[in-house]
Amino acid sequence: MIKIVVVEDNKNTQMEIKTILRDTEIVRNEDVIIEYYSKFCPELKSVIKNIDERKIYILDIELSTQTSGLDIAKYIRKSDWDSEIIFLTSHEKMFEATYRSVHEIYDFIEKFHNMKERLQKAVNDIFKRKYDNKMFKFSCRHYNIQIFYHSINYIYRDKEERKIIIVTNHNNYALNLSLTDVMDYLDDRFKLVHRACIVNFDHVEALNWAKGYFVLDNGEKIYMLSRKFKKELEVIYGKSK
Amino acid sequence: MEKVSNFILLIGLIILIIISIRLYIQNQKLKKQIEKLLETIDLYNQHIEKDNIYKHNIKNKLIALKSFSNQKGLNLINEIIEENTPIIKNNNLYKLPHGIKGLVTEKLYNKNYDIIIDNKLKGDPFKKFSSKYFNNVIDCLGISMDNAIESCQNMAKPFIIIDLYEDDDSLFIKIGNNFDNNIDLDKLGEKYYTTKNKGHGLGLYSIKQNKYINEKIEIINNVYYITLEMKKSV
Repeated sequence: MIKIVVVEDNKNTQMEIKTILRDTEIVRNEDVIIEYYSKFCPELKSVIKNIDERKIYILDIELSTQTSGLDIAKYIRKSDWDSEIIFLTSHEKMFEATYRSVHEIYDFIEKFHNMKERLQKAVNDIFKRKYDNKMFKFSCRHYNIQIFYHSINYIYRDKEERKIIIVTNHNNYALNLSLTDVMDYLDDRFKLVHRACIVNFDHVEALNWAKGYFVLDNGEKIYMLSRKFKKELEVIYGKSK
Repeated sequence: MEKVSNFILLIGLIILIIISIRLYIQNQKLKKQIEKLLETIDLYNQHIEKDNIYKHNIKNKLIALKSFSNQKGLNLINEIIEENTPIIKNNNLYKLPHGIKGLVTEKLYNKNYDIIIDNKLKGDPFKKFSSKYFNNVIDCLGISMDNAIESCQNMAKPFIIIDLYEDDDSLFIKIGNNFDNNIDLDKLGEKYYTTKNKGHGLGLYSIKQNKYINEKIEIINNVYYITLEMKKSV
């Protein structure tokens, strides 16, 4: 079951969105509940806090109330990175790239420029795509870190520093954790391939057991692959990689 | 003799009082001038923002009109759209409270980043701080801004986010930036630890040592945030 939550204070626009969603085939065919709000009220807050439901939020970025669409998006992302957010805007989207990056906004759609087509396409695409917004979350007294699983390439143990290093495409993070401990924070796409290395198998292109390396989808070749894990991994992934 | 020296002392005291009063009046005048100047800058920046929105809207309307036009009309519309109407980069710095506007504007002036400011504070609470407390706030804010600017400047699309909010007891300034670097999370704030090629690694350390300001560090979705918390009454 998917819940679509629309927050729009203009009655005409809200009616228009109702019509668009009613005319969207995938919304008619799937198990979908649609709720409409005109402001950030206690009922909406409790919907947001319920993170057990998968949701698509369609928010007017320029709500004429004290709490804007952007404030609502920030509130959503305090506890929920799984739901998708679509912003509706009346004018050109300033800072669009930044908002997309910071709040993981799925799309910005202009109300007066092909709204029907853009909104239907966005909703269709969200329904069809693989939902993958799970995060690695770790906090201690000094800091709090949250990284999407899909952006982690691999994790290895640095012998000299005696820390684990989380490797993504842009940044590497060193933490005081053991590899065994970090496995508790990950899901089953992450596999131990060496006593000092865990890899995200969604990013693995090839495994070379003979020479002891794996190749990632970004072209990186990592020489931390141990035959000790060959049998176990071939059972899961076959010999295709 | 004693009477003469007492008289001289009295004259000296009176002169000092007169000078103090004059300085106080000058100071008050300057304060009013500065406030007026800041208000004018705010209005100017708001005007730039409205102008930018207007230009973007006009452009969209012209594009929509193209579908109703004949060839002559199409050519005219294309000419107008292609006209060089530069949009002045406006990073809505006018939204900052006056107390910290000077520092932040000076750091960010003319930077071609996206700078997004969300100010939920009522009025300018920094006015109520004592000089000593305010100096501590400015020190920590300045270091945080410098770190944010250095970290994001080499990104393809650098951005800095500044959120200001409050609860019953405290004010919060949250500064976020994107970055491309290697970070040892447990060493953040340690003396001499730095992720930059230059620098002493003392900035974040001095924020942590500051007894007036509490700091919190978060990295969420490859965006680095530092939140500075300052008590409303110290």
